[in-house]
Amino acid sequence: MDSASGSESGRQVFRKHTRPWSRRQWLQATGAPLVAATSLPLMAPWHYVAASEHYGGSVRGRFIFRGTPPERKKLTVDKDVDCCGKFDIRDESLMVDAGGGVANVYIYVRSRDVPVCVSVAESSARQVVLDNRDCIFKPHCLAIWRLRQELYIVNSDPIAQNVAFAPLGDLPANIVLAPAPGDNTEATWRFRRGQSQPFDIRCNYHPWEKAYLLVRDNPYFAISRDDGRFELAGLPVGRWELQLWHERVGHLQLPEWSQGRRTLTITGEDIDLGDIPLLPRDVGIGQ
Amino acid sequence: MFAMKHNRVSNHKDTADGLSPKADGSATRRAWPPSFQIASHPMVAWATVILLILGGCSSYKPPDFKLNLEGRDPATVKPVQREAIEEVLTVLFGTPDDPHVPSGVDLDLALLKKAAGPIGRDFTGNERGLYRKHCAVCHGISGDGAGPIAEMLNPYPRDFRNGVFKYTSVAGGAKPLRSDLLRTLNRGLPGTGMPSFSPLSQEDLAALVEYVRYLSIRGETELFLLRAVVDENEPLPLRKQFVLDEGVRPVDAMWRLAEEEPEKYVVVPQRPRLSPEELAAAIERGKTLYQETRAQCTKCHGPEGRGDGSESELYDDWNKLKKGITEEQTHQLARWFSLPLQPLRPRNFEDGLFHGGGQPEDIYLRIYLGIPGTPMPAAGPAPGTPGVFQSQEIWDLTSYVLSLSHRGTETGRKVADRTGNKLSSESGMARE
Amino acid sequence: MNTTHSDSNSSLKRTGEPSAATAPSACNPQSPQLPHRLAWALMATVFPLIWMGGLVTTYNAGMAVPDWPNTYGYNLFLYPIESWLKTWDVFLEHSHRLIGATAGLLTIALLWSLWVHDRRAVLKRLGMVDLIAVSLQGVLGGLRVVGQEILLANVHGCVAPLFFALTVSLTVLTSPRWRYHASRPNHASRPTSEPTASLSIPRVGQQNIPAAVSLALPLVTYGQIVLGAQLRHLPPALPPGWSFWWTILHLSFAGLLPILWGISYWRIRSLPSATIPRRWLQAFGWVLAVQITLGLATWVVNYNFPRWFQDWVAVIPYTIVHGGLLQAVVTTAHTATGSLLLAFAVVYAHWALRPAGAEGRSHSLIQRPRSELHSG
Repeated sequence: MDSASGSESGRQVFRKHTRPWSRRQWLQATGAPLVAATSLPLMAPWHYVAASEHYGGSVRGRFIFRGTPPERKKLTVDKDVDCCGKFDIRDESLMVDAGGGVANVYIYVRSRDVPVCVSVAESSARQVVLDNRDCIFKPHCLAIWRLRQELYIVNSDPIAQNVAFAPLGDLPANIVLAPAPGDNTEATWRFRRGQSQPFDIRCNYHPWEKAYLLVRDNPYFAISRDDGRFELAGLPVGRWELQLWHERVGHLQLPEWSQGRRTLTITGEDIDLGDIPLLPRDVGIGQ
Repeated sequence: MFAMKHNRVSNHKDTADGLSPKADGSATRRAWPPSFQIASHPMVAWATVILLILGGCSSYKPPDFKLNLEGRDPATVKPVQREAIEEVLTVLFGTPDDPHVPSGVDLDLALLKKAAGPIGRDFTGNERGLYRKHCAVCHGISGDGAGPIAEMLNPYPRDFRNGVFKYTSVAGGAKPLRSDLLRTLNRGLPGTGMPSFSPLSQEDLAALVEYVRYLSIRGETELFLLRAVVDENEPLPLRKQFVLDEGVRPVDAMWRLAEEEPEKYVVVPQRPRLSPEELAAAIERGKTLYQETRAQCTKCHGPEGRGDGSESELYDDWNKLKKGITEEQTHQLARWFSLPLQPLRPRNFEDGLFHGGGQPEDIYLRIYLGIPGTPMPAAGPAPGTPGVFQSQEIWDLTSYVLSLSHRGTETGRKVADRTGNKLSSESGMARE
Repeated sequence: MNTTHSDSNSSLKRTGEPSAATAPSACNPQSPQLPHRLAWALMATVFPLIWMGGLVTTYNAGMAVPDWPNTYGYNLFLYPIESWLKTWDVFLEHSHRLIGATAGLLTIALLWSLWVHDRRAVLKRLGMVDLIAVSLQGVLGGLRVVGQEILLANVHGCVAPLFFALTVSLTVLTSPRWRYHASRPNHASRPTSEPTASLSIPRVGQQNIPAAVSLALPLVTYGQIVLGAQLRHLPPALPPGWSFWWTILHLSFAGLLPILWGISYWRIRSLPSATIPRRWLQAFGWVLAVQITLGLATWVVNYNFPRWFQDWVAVIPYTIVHGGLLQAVVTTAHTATGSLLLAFAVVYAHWALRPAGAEGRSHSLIQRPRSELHSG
């Protein structure tokens, strides 16, 4: 995939939406139901707004683990031991760094029909990369804005890898990637439907491999980094409901975050949520 | 009860004729007994009681679609949520006796009406209830694959509600074509409980295909609603338009995908015509491909294709959810599923039994497209994926796989030695 | 079941009492053969009727005709032949009704003939029960159609073998052989309080056949039929666990029957006087073997080969054909043979439990403790 040409065509798509509707668009909107229904999932229900009008601000914060994080267990690696046996493959379901930062917490705007600021749209990459490297998926948690981005899946291991997922109400994938280096080590996947929560990606060859992917209709999502920090950039002005999600518990229930949800009003200033503490029981430890 | 009565009566007769004061010859030779005697006979009383009881329960109660609670603790679904989901589904899709088609969805209502409803004919002789007549005993009224006899079968009947179908001709995980479903109905799935419905008329089959599509589209909408209402607490009441736009239409669009863009999704096998030498060479090449690491065939199917690869614990997507990490977890999970955990076995090619059909075209499609819902991955190119094998290589693999069939037997070896065309038709599989 | 047994036993006990002394010769050996012939005719109608009913269930054609007792508004007997033959499921259902009606008429004729030609009061009563059973059966079938109720189809399927068994019983009781044995001068009048009278004679008739075993054979066979009927009439909304347990029970009963048969056979294998029940028991054994084979075949033509068979025996690439000839014939044959098996069990039980006629020397037969028998 040539990312330069990709972003170029992406920009064209954007501009189309700013102009008055073309004849083709009229046709699409009002024409035969067949045409409409087919193109519906591809014709994004998102609207583009100029940055100057609606650009609000970012939401920042940091997830901090309060307590002693459990030891990350070594996973059973009993397939392709020649290749995978040499890696220290450990459980990635709770990643706490030395400073207590919790990685891989999803935070995303749950509200529907969020206008997308052009700057956010244009700054987002055209592809989200899922790498098969060292016999695990990297990164462990991904999120994708399906209307602009596609999933680029690549294998960097010298063994064949499999990527299988079945998003709710979307087409399932079960792809083989040839060993690297070589041909056929990559694939791209487009999603036809946004999801309200992440789903898991598996490798049928290596049962320990697991990753999570959130597919959204807007670009307002973030995954906390290794140090627990996250930033939801460029949220438009308005009241938006945010959602927290963690693979161990699903919706991450915290004080002030009932069902992992909290509504914030974006007025034009950045919001810093500061340190958001996570107790062991919040992520399902000791239950 | 009848048995007891009968035995007693007959035994009574055997020996005790004389016991009965009325039983002497003269008494019984008298005229027809007065009617009150018959009426007071215990059997009459019995019959009356039974008929009354049965008469009471003989009013037809239309069945309902069962809410899809697979993998869920029913207690986690609030009654108000359940009602909301059931209500909107009824508005959009009707009931098992009276199906509706949501506006714009690609379903033929006339065909659905033929398949839906109770079994029987109306006074003009038109038949309806075809689904219940032919399918429901395995696939269930709701298409949940948990009909009354589902547990007897291995593999289990398909749960249509996930929208995943194993034997198709479409790439990229797209929904099957009508012709794919029709093929499965016509041919059945050898070695499984899925019969061939070839004795049925083409109209009846078309109606059943449409009804399966209906149950599947409804089922995926239901999954969407469960996600939205139960998992995500969507505010109630649900707006019909919201469900249509976000639940029904995307599913419908996916069902249209392959029908409307066949050039992109539909794979049409073009079997090469091979001379015996070419076939032998193809089998050799196929063997190399099979054993190389590119597609990891040996992982599940074993080095010799005996289905004894290192991947021992395999499950399809319907059963995967029932598998906990520990035994205890699996046991706990079992409570929330209709059917017990059922492991999946990779095919042993020597058996020559292929559920999706044993024609070279069938094997080709299985390798090319994978088997959706199972660990069998798609090896051929699809939109977005270059695929690890190209068409020619897949044909080589097909030849190799078929050459393994019945390898253990003398006839099998002969079969395997035949030319490309014969190879297929003699491999012991049902033909279309 | 327990009550059934003790009931039967107590009735048997009663029959063993000396009051049988008053038993007249059961009927006149010179009396016409008409009841027996009619019973045969009825039997020969009911067995095909059961086949037809089985086919109706196999083809799920029970609702092919929407009305009852009429057929598409026509009187049963006036339904045009071309419509009758046009559609397969209508053909099955309407034929089933026609044969059923014939059976009903024959039952009336049989009852009439019994009334006129047979002196035995119990036979008349049995004939009446037969008529009630056939009427009940017809009404059940009709209500099943009118009410679209699968439960009634189930009961209809369970009553059919009973009616058949009753008819078979009548056929046995009206048979010349039965009457011959019944009319032979016997020693029934001898009080049972004279054990030596019977024990001094080594040919003790059917004395060694325990009533429990003889009765168990028809009872278990019938239980097996009822279990099979549950598997044949599964309401489509039934959760899958039910049929699993029905199947387990059906298979257990299938395992029980050969054991019961073995016990019964072992008990009478060397009794020279038990020739007739032994022959019937042999026949029962053959039918049972056929039935078990059919049962296994029924599994295969409906569910395909089970996984263990594919793993341990052979992998047979068989595709079930829904509504195919093989499936229809095997499944229906299994149903019909179930009734046939019951018929054999009933005949056997009649002869095994028969009061001492020609061969027996005592009326106490069955219930007498073995110790008593051997004390002489």
